[in-house]
Amino acid sequence: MLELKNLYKDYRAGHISPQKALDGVSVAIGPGEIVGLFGENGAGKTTLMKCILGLIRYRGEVLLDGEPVTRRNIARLSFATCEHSFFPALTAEGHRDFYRMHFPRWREKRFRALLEFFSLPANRALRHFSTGQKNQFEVILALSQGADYILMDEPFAGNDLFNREDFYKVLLGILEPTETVVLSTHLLEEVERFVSRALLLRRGKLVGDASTLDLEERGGSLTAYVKETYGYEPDRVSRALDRLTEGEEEP
Amino acid sequence: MVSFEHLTLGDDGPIYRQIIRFVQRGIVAGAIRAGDEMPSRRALSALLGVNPNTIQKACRLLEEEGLIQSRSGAKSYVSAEPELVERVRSQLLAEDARRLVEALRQTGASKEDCMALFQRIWDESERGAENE
Amino acid sequence: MRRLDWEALAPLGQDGRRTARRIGLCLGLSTLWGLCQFLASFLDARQTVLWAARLGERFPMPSFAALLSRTMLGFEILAVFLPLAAAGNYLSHYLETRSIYLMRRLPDRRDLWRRCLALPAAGLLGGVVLALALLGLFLAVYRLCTPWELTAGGAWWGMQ
Repeated sequence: MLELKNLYKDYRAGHISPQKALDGVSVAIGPGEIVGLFGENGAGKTTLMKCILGLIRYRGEVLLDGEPVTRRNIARLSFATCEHSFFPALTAEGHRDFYRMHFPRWREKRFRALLEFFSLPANRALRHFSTGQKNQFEVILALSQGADYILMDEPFAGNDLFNREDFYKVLLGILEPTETVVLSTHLLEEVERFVSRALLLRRGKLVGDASTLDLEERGGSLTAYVKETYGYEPDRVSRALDRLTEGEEEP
Repeated sequence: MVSFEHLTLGDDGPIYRQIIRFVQRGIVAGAIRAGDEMPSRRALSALLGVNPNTIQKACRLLEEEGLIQSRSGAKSYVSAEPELVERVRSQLLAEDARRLVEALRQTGASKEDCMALFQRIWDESERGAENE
Repeated sequence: MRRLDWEALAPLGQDGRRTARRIGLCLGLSTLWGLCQFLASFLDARQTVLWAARLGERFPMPSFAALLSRTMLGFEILAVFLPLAAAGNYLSHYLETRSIYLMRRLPDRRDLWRRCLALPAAGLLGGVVLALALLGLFLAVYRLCTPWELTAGGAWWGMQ
C-alpha cells in the first residue's frame, strides 16, 4: 500500500504564483491498481511523483506498507518520465547490466520480451533512438525493474496512437496482480478503459478520486467526470464564438 | 476458445455490460458453444485494452447468470444449457425490441404504420436472403 | 594494472579507463614540467652563483622558495580543474536526459558519488602525493647540490 499523507510542496522561490505545488494531498493506492493521474499543466502531477520517489523535498509523509521510503525499499518504486532518465550514451544492453546490478528483482524475461516486441535494437546507443523508441525504452526499464509501484509521468509524449494503444494492451497483458501503475497523462479518452481509478489534481489539490467501475455504474464516463470536476462549461466555446461574430452577416 | 476478436467496444453503456452482451449474443447465435473455453482474465484484458477490474466484473456477472463456469484453476468454460440459452434469447429479444419501439415512438409514427413498415422490411430481408 | 572496474568509477557512458589514463597523463606531465622547471631554475641559479664566485663577487643562492616558482603550475591547474571535472560529472546527469533521476533512486546511495568523485579525487590525491614527492626531491637536490658556503648567512633557506 502506497500512502501519501498531507503532502505539501511550495514552489521554489522566485515563482510568480503564490500557490503551492502540492497543497495537502492525501491518498492511498493499493496493489494491483491502475491509476490515472490527471490534471492541467502545473497541477502538481510531476511534483507528486517526484515526492513519492524522494527526488524532491516535501512536507508530509510517504509510506510504503507503513514504512517511509528509504534506500531499503526504494527499489519497489520505479519511474518513467517524459524527460527520460536513461543514459544517452549507453545501449539497451548496457542499461540492462546496470539495472541488474542495482535492482535484485530485475525482470530479465520481461525486458527481453518487450525489447523484442517493440523491435528495439539491443546494441545501439540510446541517443540514436527515435523519440518514440526512447519513450518505449524508458517505460520498458520502469516495467522491468521489478518494482511494485510503477510511476509514469506522461510517458507517451510523441508516440503515435497505434504505438500507445499497443502499449496499453501489452501493459494489461504483462502486469501482475501485485503490480501497481500510476500514470499521469493528458490523453483522457484514451486511457479511460485502461485505468481502474482516476485521481484528479488541480492547483496542487486532489479534487477527484473515482473508480472507473463506479463511474460506469452511475452512467457517466471518465471524461464527463473530469469535465464536471473542473467546472468545464460545455457551451463555453459557442458563447465565445457568439461574442466574436456579433454583428457579422451569416455567410 | 471463445473469440473476442469481433467485439468492438463503443460508447453505449458500461464496458462490462458490452462484454456480457457479446457473450450472450454469441451463445444465442451459436457462435459460442457450451464447453468453449473462455480466455484468461489477463488475456481478455490485454485483447480489449480494458483494465482487469472491469473484466473481473463482467466474468463474475456471467458466472452469476450461469453462462460461464470456472473449473480447474483459473480456467472458465461456457456452460449454456438449452433452457438457459432460450432464456437469454428471449431476454435479448425483449431488449432489442424495447429499444426499437422506443426509437420508433420518438419519430411520432403510429403503431399501425410501424407494424406495416416492420412487415415490409422483414419480408424484403427474407427475400434478399433467399436470393443469395 | 590490477583488474579494476573502470566503468564503475566514472558516470555511465564515460569511458572510465580513458579518463583515468588522461588524468594519469596530466599528472605525468605536471611532474615532468615540475622537474624541468626546477632543474632549469636551479641549474641556472647555481651557474650564476658559481660564475659570480669565480669573478670574486658574492652572489647569494636564491632561496628554495624562489626556485620553486612555476614548478607546481601543472598541479595547481589540476587542483582547479579536477574539482570542476567532478562537478561536470554530476552535471552530466542533467544533459540530454535526466539520468540523475535514476541515479538518485538507486538503493546503493554511494554509486552516484563514486562515479562523480572517484577519478577526480584519485587525481587530486595523486597530485598531492606527487607534488609532495617532488618537493622532497627538490629540497634534497637544493640541499645537496648547493655549494653551502655560498648561501647567505648560514640560513640555508637563503636570502634573496
